[in-house]
Amino acid sequence: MDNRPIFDKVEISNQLSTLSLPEQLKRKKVCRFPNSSEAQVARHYTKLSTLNFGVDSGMYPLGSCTMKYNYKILERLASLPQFMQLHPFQDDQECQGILEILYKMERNLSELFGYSKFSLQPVAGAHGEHTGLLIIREYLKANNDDRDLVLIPDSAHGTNPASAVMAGFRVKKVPSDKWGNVDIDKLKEMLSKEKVAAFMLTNPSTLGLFENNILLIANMIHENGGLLYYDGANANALMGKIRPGDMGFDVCHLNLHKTFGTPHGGGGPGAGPVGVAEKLVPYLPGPIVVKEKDKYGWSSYSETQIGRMHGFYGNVIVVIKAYIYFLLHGGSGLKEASEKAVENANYLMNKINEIIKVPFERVCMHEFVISAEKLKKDTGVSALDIAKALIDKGYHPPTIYFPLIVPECLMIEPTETEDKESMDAFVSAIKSIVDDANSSPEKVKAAPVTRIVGRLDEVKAVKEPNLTFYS
Amino acid sequence: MSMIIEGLYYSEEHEWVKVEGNMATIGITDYAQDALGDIVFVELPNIDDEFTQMDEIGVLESVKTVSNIYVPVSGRIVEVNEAAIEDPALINSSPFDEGWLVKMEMYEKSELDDLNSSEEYEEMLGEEE
Amino acid sequence: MVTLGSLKTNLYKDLPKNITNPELNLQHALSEAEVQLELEKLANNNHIYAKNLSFLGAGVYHRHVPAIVDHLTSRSEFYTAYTPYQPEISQGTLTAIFEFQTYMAELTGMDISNASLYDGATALAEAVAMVARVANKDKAKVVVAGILSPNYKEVLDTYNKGFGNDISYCEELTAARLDESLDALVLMYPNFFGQVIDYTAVIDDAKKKGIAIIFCVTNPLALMIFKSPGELGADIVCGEAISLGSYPAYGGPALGFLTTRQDLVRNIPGRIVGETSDANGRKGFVLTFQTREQHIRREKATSNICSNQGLMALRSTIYMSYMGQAGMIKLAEDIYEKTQYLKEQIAKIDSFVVDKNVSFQDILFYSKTVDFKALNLFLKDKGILGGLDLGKFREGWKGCYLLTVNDYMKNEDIDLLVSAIKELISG
Repeated sequence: MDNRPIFDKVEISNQLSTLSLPEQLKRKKVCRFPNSSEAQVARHYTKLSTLNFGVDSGMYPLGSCTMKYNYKILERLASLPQFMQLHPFQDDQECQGILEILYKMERNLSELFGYSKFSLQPVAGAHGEHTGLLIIREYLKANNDDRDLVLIPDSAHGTNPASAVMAGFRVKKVPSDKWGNVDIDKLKEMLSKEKVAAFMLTNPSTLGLFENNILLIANMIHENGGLLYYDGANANALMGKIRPGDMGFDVCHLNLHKTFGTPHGGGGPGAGPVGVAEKLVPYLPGPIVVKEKDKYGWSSYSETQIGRMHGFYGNVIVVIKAYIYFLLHGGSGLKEASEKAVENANYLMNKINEIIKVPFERVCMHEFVISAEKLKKDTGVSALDIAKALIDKGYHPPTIYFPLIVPECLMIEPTETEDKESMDAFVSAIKSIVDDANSSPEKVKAAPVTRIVGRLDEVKAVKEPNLTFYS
Repeated sequence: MSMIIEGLYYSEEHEWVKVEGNMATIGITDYAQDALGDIVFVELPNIDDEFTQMDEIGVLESVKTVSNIYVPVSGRIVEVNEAAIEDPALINSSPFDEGWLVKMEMYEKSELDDLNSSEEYEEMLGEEE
Repeated sequence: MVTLGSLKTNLYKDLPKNITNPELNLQHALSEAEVQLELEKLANNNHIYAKNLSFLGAGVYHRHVPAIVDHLTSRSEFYTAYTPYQPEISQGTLTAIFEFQTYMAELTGMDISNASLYDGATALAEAVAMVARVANKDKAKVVVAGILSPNYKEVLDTYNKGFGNDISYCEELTAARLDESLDALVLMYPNFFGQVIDYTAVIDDAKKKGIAIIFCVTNPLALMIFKSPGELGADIVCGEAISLGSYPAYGGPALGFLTTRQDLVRNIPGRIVGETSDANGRKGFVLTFQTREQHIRREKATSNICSNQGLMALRSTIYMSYMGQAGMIKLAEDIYEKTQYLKEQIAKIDSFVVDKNVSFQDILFYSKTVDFKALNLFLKDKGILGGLDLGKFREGWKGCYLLTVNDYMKNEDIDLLVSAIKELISG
């Protein structure tokens, strides 16, 4: 079998170092690494790559993840040796090129999203949330304010509550109304009872819907004395159209690996910069890139800063890629990208709505959700089954069972880089799966059958844990 | 249709309580185990831990969900089902019998009035389905 | 009939009108050729040195990256894929992570590993946060004993603003007070000064008092020849693996890791891959123990981490597969021997004091008289990237200088450095 680990393919020897070292410091336990030839390594990982599915392999309508095409020039230029070989402890004088990119990217993000300053240190969306919430925490502390409650909509990503707790807050859920917006009456009621530190909001929401009442919500939170936090997971809908800063969000994180087209890497590295309004600038993590006369450098330490969130300066190479993406688009190109993403999503939503009902009959933003609840009731075929059947049709499945408030949910995001032909083909694939569900549901439930493995037993994976080759 | 046993008390959170004198045996219902799917992990309190009604006393995990266990009545834990910790599948296969979770000494028997009878619980499930 | 064109109107009608379509001061688009020129210009404003003359390290090393690592990780099936939530279509990534977990567990001498964390500093912060969960306490009491990177300390302190654990630092190992109220002891191995300390006695003492042992490893290659944390009795090992198959890259993307004992699996932050099988008995890999994670357990998750450093873990995996057991041992021995050689040569210079501890790759020197800033500028003129002037971090480290050897160096490169230092001193 080909998805076997390399340990299974090569004989392992029992070598230990024979170096003369102090006896009590010598390693005695054999490090069971295989010894392979370069050719064996090349074949093994090339084979493994064929068991994967990337954005180049086919449509990847994974909602909330913004799997847009990754321009190849990003890879070529970000891997120049003057970036890759640069040591983080080198003198600022020797790093002027990289510092200029970081400085300019920071300025561009601030302009595009409406903030005073961004920190480029956080390396992922959740890391950005954690950073933003620590900023809020330190800001409140500096103002002798002991509020410690963070509100989160019931449609939020799991990272929101997890980050809030890591930053030392309590969390409470705010329900959504039947239109997928924040339930304003409920929010009002919660705010009348308690002072909130922050309200974390994704806009467009994880349902792919723009929050109509955003200005009202911003007002309500600010009047309560709290801060409004923008989860930028869905910022791909809004570049150049509307700025979170203008909507009243005091803190914002972005996911450059979504919005700025840097590759996801099979789960990272990403970048999750955090932007803040003027009053929060002193609390950004240090150091910050500064420009004095014509020289770039790192700011010195300040007392108010929350501290460092990363051992060095974040995923700098990812930020360089995002800067390249920015240069390729320019201000108006980014706006066009967002408009195209929204247009594509609406096109696809309207087409799919003819097959599976959309629970919220509204214009969507860059993504939308559908519910297979009725199909499941009628045929037994669930959202999971549809997802697996799509694999056999050559697609990466959409996000499923999220957000949690929509039963049998599939969340679909085509992105702006998908063309009409591929979206039409995707609709046909959905149609044929639904037809199969009605005629022979067992066939759909058996999918996928075209991959190296079928559905895997996840219960067994937990009950009989095998987490390394030697366990 | 889920199995419901007569003579037990039922909470809104789908726990059942079997009362013998001052002692309450607590578990989750057949409906709850079915909704959770294959239970792979159980976390239960320690003996002698004290709880008040509706406190969280542990968790049940399937592969993709985590469900809190709440105590339907106040009291002190006198026994936990080690067999269920060892083999959580018992809770799926025998929710009302071998898959019980904890035994408690009740502090306030009148709290049982807050719970549902088997008929009321059946009605409640009817509304959920 | 839905057409793409018919949708153009009013898709943004939900947005508040007064703030839509703002005038933005952003530049216009460039062509790919223009971008290429622009980036090359910027790149040329960075100064890099010949790798065999780069004596800067301190946790980030100029390690040779075999061409095959770049080649294989640049396959788009790997680098453009998402997190492997759909296992049937992600067996490539999942198998590689399973290998990564195996490599890290073997290297550190532990049972299990996660699928990566952001970097060494955040991995340390996550490991310390894990202590409270393992000890089943609201707040844990932790002592960090020995020489820790100042940047790591800053990250640990920043994270701890939210956690509120009781963390204290003690640079002198022997001064660390280990009493029963302590939940964990953090030890650096090798430490920020490149020292490989014999921790046997302190660990014995800590174990007797029921204190958990955390190892922080920023140069994991050392573990090929030195006793592994597992052999020394570690409960959790965290650290940085950027130097296994990746470039310095100005410090990021890096590669955090965390390994531990099998029984602590439910307390681990981040993703874990496990082996299982399908209905036909075919073996395969899945993300497992997901109920620990934010997307399921939300505010009670072991961490908020979602995106990690997947591609860096893949690089590391391919690197270790390419190097193999023999290659890894040989490289570690080679680095150790160069470390010794540099020590011996600098010992011949009167104004330098050489660290008496066992060193690996990074070497601590002390001098009352040499101005390291001036030295580094002097070396720069000779095309040599000098070491790290530790005095810039804190008063107590004034006069301390960290020099680092690497894969590319030969003894004559080291001789070149030593003669340059001599030249400056003799004026």
